[in-house]
Amino acid sequence: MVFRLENLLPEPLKETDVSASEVWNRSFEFGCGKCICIQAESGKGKTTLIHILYGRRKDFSGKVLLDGETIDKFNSAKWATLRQRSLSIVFQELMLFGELTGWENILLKLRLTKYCGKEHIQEMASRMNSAHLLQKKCGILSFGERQRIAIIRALVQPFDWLLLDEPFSHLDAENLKLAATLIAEECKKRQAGMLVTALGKDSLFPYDQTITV
Amino acid sequence: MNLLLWKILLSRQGKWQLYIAGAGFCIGLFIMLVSVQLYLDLQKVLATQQGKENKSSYLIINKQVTLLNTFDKSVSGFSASEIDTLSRQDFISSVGAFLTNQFRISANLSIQLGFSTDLFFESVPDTFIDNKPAEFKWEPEKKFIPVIISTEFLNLYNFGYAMTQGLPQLPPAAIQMIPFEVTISGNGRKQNLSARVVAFSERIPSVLVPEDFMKWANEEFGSGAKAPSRLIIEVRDAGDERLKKFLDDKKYAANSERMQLQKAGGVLKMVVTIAAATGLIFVILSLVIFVLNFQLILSRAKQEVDALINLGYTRLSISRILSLQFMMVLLLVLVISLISQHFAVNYLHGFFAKNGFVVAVQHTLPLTLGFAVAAFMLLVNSMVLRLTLR
Repeated sequence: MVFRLENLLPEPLKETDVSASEVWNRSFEFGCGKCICIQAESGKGKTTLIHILYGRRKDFSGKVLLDGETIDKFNSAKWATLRQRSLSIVFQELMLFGELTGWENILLKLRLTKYCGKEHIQEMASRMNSAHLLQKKCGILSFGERQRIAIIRALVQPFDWLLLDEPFSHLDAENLKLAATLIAEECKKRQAGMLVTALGKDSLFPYDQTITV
Repeated sequence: MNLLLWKILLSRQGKWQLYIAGAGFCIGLFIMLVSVQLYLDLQKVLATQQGKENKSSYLIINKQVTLLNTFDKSVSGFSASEIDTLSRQDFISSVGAFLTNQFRISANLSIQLGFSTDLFFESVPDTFIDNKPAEFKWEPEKKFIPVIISTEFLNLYNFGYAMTQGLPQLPPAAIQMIPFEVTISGNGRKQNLSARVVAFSERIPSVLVPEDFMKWANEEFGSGAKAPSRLIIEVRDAGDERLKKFLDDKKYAANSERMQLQKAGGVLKMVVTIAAATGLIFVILSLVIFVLNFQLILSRAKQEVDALINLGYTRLSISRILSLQFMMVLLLVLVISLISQHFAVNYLHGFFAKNGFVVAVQHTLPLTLGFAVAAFMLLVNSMVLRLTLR
């Protein structure tokens, strides 16, 4: 799956100077299976880009093409299918349900995708030091703990692109490494591309490309 | 069924709205269904009362008696154009005129000389007579007049006059065996004829003779035809509102017990209809509360709905889970309403039976109606849900 951007410019950035950006108001392509780091200081539109690609924001000018189709033509049913089969995401704000346990949050996604068995989830949780978090309500977990649940949730589905919006902001070095290894492995398994946003330089993944927005 | 979706969306609903709406729906539906059953019962009772004699009913009408009639008898007659107007109404099937004697009649009992009385005769077209025996016809050469009298007259004699005066009660068969002599006179002429009661009429309170005889005798001994002052009309439904209005407008008086019953039945039907409407209003209000309740859930769970859609859930699956809950509430309430309705109707039927009206049929219409109303509410709610989620 290839994302192609043509003169894309989101509404909030209309008044600002985007001449230094490699993405905004230019032609740009996210090639199949690439591992890409999106780098910028805050306020430059990293999250906005992720949200546009995931279909959450529609306030932009220019075009976004997914395998040649303009995404603003997609209806909600098409987006639902894409989000079950082709696009996975870890939101910056995670979007977990506080009244559900970690396990239930992951199941909620698994119900849609039926991608893997429950043992596989257990295994991923153990590898991220999170097995003990699964039976706790997400509302009482720390942000770092919740980040790990959200990552596991993103991995219980098939995808061509994994979008990670600052997914490790609250993880310590050890957990960070465990998480990155697991994600890289799962992406490889699916031969999927990865888009990771970061504030500064990082070398968590073997990036094919680092771009500045 | 996705219990997790249920947990996310429905933990946010106000319990009280649901209870109040459920109670409103239950009461409304109960009132409505009992009323529908009562309406059907009522219709059945009225139909059987009417069906005792014939499909259609007969009314005898005359102009209302006022002081004007007292002094000028011609005012009380129906003109040909008035009769024509009557017969052109589509709620009146046929009209017959009463002919009265324009001559003098006196009757003597053949077996008891000296007993003599003045009489009056009336006639109506044959088709209006109930229990018309074959011998009820005028054959001039036989010089015999067959007479039909009202059963009311016989009752009046047997239970009123005979009882108090110490006279023997007479069964109908006995009356029919007593011949009497009739002398008719007028225009300076006189003729003796024999006569006998041949039948009794439930329908027409009069002393009836064949119309042919009346026409002949009026020509011979009277002053010819005169405008009839009473008419008999055949109507399909004596309770018809248009009939009542027509008679009132024309100031015609009609005397019929069945018409009274139909009138009372009409009033009762109205009351029952109002009750049903009240029930319906309850149901509609409860629907509004139900719909608002689900709107409230959606607005409270705005973030959750957004998160679910971002996970890849469709709006349809979200509205479905809410509809499912609504369906369960509706079913529960429906079952409660139907059971209460069943017992209430049983009780009412017992009450009717004590008062002489036996209606033991539980109609299936209220049941069907209950399900239809619930299905309609489900439909409306799911449509509103889909619109809201869009």
